[in-house]
Amino acid sequence: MRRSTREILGNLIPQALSLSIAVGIWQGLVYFEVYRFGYVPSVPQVVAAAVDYIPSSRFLHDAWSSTYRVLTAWLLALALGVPLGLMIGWKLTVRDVVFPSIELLRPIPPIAWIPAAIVFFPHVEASVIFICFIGAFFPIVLNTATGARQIEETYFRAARCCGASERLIFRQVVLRGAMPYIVIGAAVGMGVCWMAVVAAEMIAGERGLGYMIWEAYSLAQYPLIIVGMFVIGALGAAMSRLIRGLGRSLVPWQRN
Amino acid sequence: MGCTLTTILSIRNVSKTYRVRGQEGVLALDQCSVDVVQNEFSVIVGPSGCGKTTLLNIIAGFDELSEGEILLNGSVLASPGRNSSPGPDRMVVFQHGGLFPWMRALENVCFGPLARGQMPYAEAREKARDLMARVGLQDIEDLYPESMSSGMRRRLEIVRAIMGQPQIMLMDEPFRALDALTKGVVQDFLLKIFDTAPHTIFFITHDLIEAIFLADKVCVMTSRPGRVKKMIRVALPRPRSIKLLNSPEFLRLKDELTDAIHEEALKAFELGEREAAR
Amino acid sequence: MQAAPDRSALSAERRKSFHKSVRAAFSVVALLAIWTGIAAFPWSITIPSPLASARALLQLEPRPLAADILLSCRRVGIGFLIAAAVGIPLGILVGYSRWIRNLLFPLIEVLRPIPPIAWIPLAILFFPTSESMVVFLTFLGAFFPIVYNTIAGFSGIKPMYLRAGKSLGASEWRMFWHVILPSMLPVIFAGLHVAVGISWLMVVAGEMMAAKGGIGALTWEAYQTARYPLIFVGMALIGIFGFLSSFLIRIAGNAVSKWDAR
Repeated sequence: MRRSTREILGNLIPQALSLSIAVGIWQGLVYFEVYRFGYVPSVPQVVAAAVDYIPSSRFLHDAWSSTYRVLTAWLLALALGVPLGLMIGWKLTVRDVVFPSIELLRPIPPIAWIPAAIVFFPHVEASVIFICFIGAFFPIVLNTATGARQIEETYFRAARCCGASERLIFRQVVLRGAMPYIVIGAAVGMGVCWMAVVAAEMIAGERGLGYMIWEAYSLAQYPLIIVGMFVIGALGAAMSRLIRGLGRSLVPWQRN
Repeated sequence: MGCTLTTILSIRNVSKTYRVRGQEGVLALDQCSVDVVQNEFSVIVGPSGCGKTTLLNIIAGFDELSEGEILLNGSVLASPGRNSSPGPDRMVVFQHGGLFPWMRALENVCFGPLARGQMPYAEAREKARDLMARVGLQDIEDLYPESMSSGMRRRLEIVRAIMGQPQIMLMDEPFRALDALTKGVVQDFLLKIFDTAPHTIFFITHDLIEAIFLADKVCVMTSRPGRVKKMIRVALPRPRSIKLLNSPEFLRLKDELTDAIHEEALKAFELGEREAAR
Repeated sequence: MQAAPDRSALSAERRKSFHKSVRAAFSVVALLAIWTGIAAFPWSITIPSPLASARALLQLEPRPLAADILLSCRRVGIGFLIAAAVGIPLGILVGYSRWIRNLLFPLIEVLRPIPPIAWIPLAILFFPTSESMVVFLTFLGAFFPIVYNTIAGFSGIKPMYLRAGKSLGASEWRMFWHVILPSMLPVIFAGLHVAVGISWLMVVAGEMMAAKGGIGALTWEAYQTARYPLIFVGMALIGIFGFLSSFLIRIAGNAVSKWDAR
């Protein structure tokens, strides 16, 4: 459904207005020191900090650190989680043996793993990546398993009729049939991964965007905190969108 | 009059008992016996729940029989304790569509030979394209099943089935979900293939007109437990045209078939009501 | 002709569920075994075994532990309830009024991508007490999923239901209460389900970083005082209560929208 330029503009103006009003309220609250808003950085301060930070190499380093950790963890989670999820969804015996353990561990959020990871992993990098891995792993396994499980019996029968071996069925029916759900799991996993990296970096990391925010707080560079918040939000959203777009190209047979 | 016709499929006294949770076993098939001869178009008709799909599933290898045996080309295919596994010698055309949604048309057709490693990729593709062109489906090579009409999907599935050159084609109410007009088109498609390159076909339907229109021989199954009650020969000339639908011979066959089936349909209905009430 | 009563069918069922429980038990045992194995390996730091962790749990005094648990639960409860009380009506308003939608939706969409965790330093700055800070964090964690799902639930109402209601002569208020709201409930509860999980996450994060008392603080203290077996106890507790809260929401959702029981 293509929207007319008029429609887009018609929506843009009220939206821009809404954001301007919000920014105005923010600035007003800070300026007049309403309640504790005096402690909050003002809009000009934040803008100044943004102009200083974003074009700098510090930002590049921080962003790259976080992105690197997220990507590594996410790819690891895919590499381990997708095959496992497919087997769980496909073979009842695997599910009965593996799934209870997964369901036991799943409720423990990545954040809860942080103290354990800090203590038991020798390097900070490894512990942060581990936390992110935990975050991405469970959504990926769960969604992949659901994807494999919902493949209709007819397709398995058709494949066996054609004379396909178990290995071929795994690749051509189970993997490809579960793909829409694998994509969903990957997208959700990326989102959780991103949240986990921020938490892990704040508590334990020596660099990265999460660490940057915490450092800004401890060094009383308060406007930078807000810059960091928005940057993290924007980057996370961009990565999610990227994954979803990539995912669509992996499932060309679904046009909805 | 001395031509010996090879019996491709021989179903002998096959019975099937289902084990249902908490109840006594349910007898689905009761001593069914049918023979299918080479290049013969056999149709099985029967009321819902009579077990015709069960019989097809047993032949195809998706289910097991409890008693009796099935012979394919003289050798035992299935017997109690020894189940047949699905294979390209008995290709199935499924009721609810067995085309892989994630593969394009051409890839679907190639899947069989490639899966068995019979030929290299390029050769399989060529053969598939050739076959599709011969039946007039060359334009849909690159389409995904979702983009095709239901008639195209059914035709493509038939093409995929014959690609593997099966000994017998098993068709499980394949045209059931099609509207009347599309059904006619696809039936003609199937008959044309049958006329030009004869196959042995085992076809299940509940549509009596479709049965007579397509078949060389129609077997009537009773309501559950299913048994082959009657066998009607259809000696109408081939190629079959729609005009035959009004011929006196066709109408006579239709009468005969309707009579045979109607009392079974009634029994099946009452059985269903009794079970729902339980 | 029916076959003789098949007793083996019943025992086949029982056998199947028995096998399933055996496999589940095997799964848990295998997990514990792997854990024990990892712990037994001579790493540079000793990883506590399941046994050590269990012992640590038993050594905890029950009353302070219960107090910690209750504290965390209370914080989650308050933040979550406020988020629901604010978020659901807000979502409905956004759905109803185009004007409000244009006013609020951009703001929500700009703020939503920011992970709740990233709000922590700002929250520490702004809130006078660590208690109010943690409650704010739980509120924040729950707020966006609730609002988002409420809006989605509203826009997902099938026009057919609206037409049916109108043609039956329902007034605006009745339409809302008896047609629109029930129709939205499953999606809203899905949002609540996600929200309570995030709330729980935020309570743990907040407690680990700045607050006194609570399960998160317990786990963090265990880390800082190098009582490592207790870390695992903390993790287990967090997992259990997180699961329980999600479970409660799911039950509540099923009770309220019986036609959509999951």
